[in-house]
Amino acid sequence: MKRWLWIVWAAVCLTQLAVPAWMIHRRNLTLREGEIYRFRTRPVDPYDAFRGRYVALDFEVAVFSNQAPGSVYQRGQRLYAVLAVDTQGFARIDGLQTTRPHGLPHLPVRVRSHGDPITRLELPFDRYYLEESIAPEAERLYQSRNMQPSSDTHAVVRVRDGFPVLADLVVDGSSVHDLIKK
Amino acid sequence: MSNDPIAWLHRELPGWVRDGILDRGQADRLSRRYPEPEGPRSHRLLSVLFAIIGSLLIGGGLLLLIAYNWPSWPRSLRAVLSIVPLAVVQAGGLWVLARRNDRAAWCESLGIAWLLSVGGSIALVAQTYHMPGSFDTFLITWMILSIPILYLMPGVSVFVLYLAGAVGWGFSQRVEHAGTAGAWLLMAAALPLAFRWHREAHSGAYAVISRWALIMASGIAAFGFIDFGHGGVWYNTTILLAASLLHLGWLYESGASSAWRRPALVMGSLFVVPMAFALSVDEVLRNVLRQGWPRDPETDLKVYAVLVSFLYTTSLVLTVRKGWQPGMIWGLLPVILAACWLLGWMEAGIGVLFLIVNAFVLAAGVVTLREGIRTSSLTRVNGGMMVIGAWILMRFFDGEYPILLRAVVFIVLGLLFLAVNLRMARTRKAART
Repeated sequence: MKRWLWIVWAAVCLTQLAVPAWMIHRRNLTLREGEIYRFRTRPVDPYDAFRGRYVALDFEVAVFSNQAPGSVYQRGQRLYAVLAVDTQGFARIDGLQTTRPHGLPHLPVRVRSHGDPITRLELPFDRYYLEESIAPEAERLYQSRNMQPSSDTHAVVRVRDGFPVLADLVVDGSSVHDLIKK
Repeated sequence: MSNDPIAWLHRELPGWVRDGILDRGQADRLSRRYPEPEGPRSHRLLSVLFAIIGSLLIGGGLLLLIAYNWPSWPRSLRAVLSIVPLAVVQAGGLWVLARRNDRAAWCESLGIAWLLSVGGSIALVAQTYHMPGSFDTFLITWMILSIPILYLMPGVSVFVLYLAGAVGWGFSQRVEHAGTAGAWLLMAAALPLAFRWHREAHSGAYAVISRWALIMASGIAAFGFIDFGHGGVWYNTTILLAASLLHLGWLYESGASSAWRRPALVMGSLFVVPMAFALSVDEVLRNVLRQGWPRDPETDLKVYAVLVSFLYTTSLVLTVRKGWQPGMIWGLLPVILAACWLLGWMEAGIGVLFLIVNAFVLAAGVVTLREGIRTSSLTRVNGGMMVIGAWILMRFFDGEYPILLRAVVFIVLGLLFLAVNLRMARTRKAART
């Protein structure tokens, strides 16, 4: 085998392996060192076409009504949501910025629709994957509990330098995995 | 002696060694000097096809096994397992590159497995970490990482899958209202391989399949990605593209033995002839000429229009330089349409333009028929007859023009046909005497 072919093969393999490896490393780092935020969920459209192997999620903070006067956003525009924690310990969005906020906890989001006074946002986590035999049951459980006003249903998200990773889905105070096992 | 001297030699060698005519070393050297072929062509093809199907099934099964999302396995183990198939296939790729001489089947099967495992690894990591469903990001990452596989494991199955992925990404971009120029660049990344196959054997299976795949992919991409604004622009650019395909077919596929080996000619004809017919209808011609260039065209449309115009001009010039023949008349449809545009701009009546297009369609039908008779090609004879027959039928029932006018035109044309026939008969008779 020619020497240059060895080099090409090695370079291709390293590049191809580097992409999933980097994805894993970055998420593991965030899961280890990221700050924990709890995002209160809300019911999703029951006709979500991709249901079956994951629980489709929607969040209360995705409906943002506290925007600065005169702000106009385009559909699909990338923004940065500044994060804070409310008195009950759940994540809330304090403001939207067009540039990355330095020194403040934040998330990259996209504008789904913009109006006055409400801007609907697309958060960078919208599904929780589960094994296919338990995913429909988890979805049913999540939907039924989510409809109850007193329910404590939320997603646990770790955020590090504006990079979020969904760590767990909590339904009625228990991880969805534990709840299914029961 | 057998018809195949090498097979005969290999059958005889053991007997020669046994009878002391040759010693073992001499027999081995002769075997190496004249190696036995790998097997009949159909066997090799079957072996390649089985390799493709087998690797598709095994690769898909392995990915599904991991995608099962084993609930009891820790996240880190699932993450590592997501990239194991990719690493295994890469090692297999090295083995093929280093050791195998019978590469065709191996390149096909390992190429597919490699391509699928790249996409599989990314998808499985995304699933393990609950990443959101950004299909276009996933697809572009997958396709860019797969470009080198095309050249390390060159096989038609990888080529076709890659093009499908590139077109798929273009569509996902379109859905997101984003630019699709990147999808064209992705497709262009496969072009050098197609050129290589074309250079090696332009009527070989790899060259032919890659041409079909490229033509289909470009056609689907052109119709799917570009917002033409309205039908008129679509019509004009598609006629340019189809006529360019005809020219390219005449340039590079004329010697091919079957329609399967002439994808450019087949696809070009499939579009040019029906479109010429459609233009011969008053209403269609009027609409195509009336709907000009959209007021605020997208960049994609501008680039596409420039590219197809350039392709048409270049292919026309090359065809003329090689020796234009009357049988290539269908390739002039864009010129006829351009003439109609020009005359329309000079305020000529639609009746004149209608006459020009109809004269062209009829002339093209007659020329096709004549060329078919001259070259004894039954396909062309039938094609020419169909064109003339369909044209007569369409104009006979065309309610746009008065019956009297149609009657006169039909009689004049009929007389013309008879006169030409009479003249040809006299010419033949004169030639015989």
